Amino acid sequence: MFRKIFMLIITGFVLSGFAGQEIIMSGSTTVLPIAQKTAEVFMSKHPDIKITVRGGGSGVGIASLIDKTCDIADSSRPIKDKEIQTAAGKGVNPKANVIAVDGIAVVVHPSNPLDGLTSQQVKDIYTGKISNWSELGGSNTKIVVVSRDSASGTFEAFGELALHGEKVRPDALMQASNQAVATTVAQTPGAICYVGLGYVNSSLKLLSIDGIIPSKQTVLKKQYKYARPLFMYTDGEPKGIIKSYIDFVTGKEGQKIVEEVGFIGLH
Amino acid sequence: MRWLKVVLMMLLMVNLSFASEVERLVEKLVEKGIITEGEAYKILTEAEEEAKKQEAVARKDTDKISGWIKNTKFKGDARLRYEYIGRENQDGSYIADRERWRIRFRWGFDTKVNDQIEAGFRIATGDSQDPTSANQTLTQAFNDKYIWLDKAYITYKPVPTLSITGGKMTNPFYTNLIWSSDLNPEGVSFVKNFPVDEGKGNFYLLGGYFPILERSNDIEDPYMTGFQIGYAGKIQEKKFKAAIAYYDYYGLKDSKASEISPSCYNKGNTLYGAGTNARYKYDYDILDLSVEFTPFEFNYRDTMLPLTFYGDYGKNIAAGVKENIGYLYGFQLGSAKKQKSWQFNYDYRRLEADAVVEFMPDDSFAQGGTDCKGHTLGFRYATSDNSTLGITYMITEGLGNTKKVDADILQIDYSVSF
Repeated sequence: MFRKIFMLIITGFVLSGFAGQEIIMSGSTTVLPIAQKTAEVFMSKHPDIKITVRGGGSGVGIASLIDKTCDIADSSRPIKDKEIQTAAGKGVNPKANVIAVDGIAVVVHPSNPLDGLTSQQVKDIYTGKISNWSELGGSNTKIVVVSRDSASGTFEAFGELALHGEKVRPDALMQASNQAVATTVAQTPGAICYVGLGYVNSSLKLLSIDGIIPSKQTVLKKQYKYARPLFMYTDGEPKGIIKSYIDFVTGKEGQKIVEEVGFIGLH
Repeated sequence: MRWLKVVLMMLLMVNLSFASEVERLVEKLVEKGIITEGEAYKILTEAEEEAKKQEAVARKDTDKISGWIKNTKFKGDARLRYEYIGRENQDGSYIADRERWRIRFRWGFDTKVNDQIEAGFRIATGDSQDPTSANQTLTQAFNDKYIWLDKAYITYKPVPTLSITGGKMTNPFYTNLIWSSDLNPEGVSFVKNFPVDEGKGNFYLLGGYFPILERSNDIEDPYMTGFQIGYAGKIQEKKFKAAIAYYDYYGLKDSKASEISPSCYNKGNTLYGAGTNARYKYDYDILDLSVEFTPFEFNYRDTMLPLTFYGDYGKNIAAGVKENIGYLYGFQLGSAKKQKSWQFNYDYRRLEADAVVEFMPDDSFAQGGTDCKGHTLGFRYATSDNSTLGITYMITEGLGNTKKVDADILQIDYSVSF
């Protein structure tokens, strides 16, 4: 009898060691689609593991990692020195795991004669200093500025990489999705917009920036300006189920998801 | 591929300037098809981030130290002195001359605790606990010398123009005669500044309470209160400084002088009783006026030589005191601060027996204390920035109230500050 009870207790302990394991992820809204989709697929393959995904922004994710209230911090920017130092003070060792690259393409209507812009011209168009294509050597057509709305990670990334923190001109047409942006530009001759590199199609004309045509190759070689790595930060080298998940994201299947949601994969 | 990442990371951590070499190496690996461009991107970015992290963590510790260092000013000075004292008793009886080598070393710091609070600390040499001197005579077969606590204080500045200091502090009172420059009073003081003329001048009001002795069996302990009103600034573009002070000693009269200042008594004040039982005969309520003015500056071989006149007049206004006047007048030409600059000074002073308390004035003139008069001539040359070679000659006489000897004193000093 005692032997049976003993065996039951041991079995319970062993099972509880595997059952109900949870990963909590928090952070960047840009990384959120990757995190949600990969978590969904990963959980379907590992039903004993639960992954909770929260947004909030890169800063929130990193702060949660430092406070040990999440296991993975999703971030669309590198961790800051101050955050590293705060983490060190709390015994946390933030480890950068690059999971994808966010490349942003500047696109125009296919009828636009221009092949490229400088990064300064892009900034001037989006901040309102340039309003007509003729100022850039194009036809005498008003520039219709199209932008992603402020809730999108692409908007945030473009503001940082192309506008260096300056605000988008108030008369810009704000669109809620990459698809809506693409459709608007494809139908408006004077339009200009930016989209995730994965959303460029034949109905849009891709512009070079400072002479560099955006492509997976120029982004990965760090030649193209409007690109940034996306991170999943962990406390030290990932271990256990966290390692399994990160390996999944950076593996073939995960990277396929990365490209499906519009980012540049690492394979 | 993990081994590759570790190697690249280590290279970057050793020195970020390896970054371009590491990039070239990774490019080659991509060219040869060993890794993909995506893997190369991941490896390089993660390695760079790791290297930056290591740097930030290392900087954290450095910043912690440098933050304290940034708010702390260390100060020190050292002086080597040769001194010859030619002495003569006033009754003509024999007294030997004296020759000695002395050192003085002081070191300390002021640190800013926050925007309103500062703290300071200084240690110094000294033959004894004599408050008027930090000189240490070289004697007794190379035995080790004492280091004393010379200053230890906290200053609170509730507003920029008001400071309140407590502890053993830098003497807040300005004087040319009655305080030794080595003396650091103990107690609590405040200074309220009233800047004028767009900050070029400043009126100030200064006050303080300073315990003199704490007796374990008596609540009526001697203390001093002092007040000073002064101005420092310019009058018609000429440097000018003046102050009037009042020092009121409580409880000195009838106290044992040896108990009040064990290492600085029987140096000129009128005492009654003998030896260590001798007691102060009078009270000390001292009025003092100090002034200095720089009316001229001469251009000598492309060096500006300021000519400063200075003076002091003090009087002990306590009842019944006869030898109660002290005064000094003199001038200084030049200023030995930068390399090859020099200064010459002369003053005459008279300090009657009970003009001030004997533990207050300079310890060199007439070998310290009161009841003396005489001349001081000095020349100082800056051998480099922050170091000077100086010679001082004092011709002093006792005034006869006590058995003070006449003394001619020669001092040759080499001083550095850092």
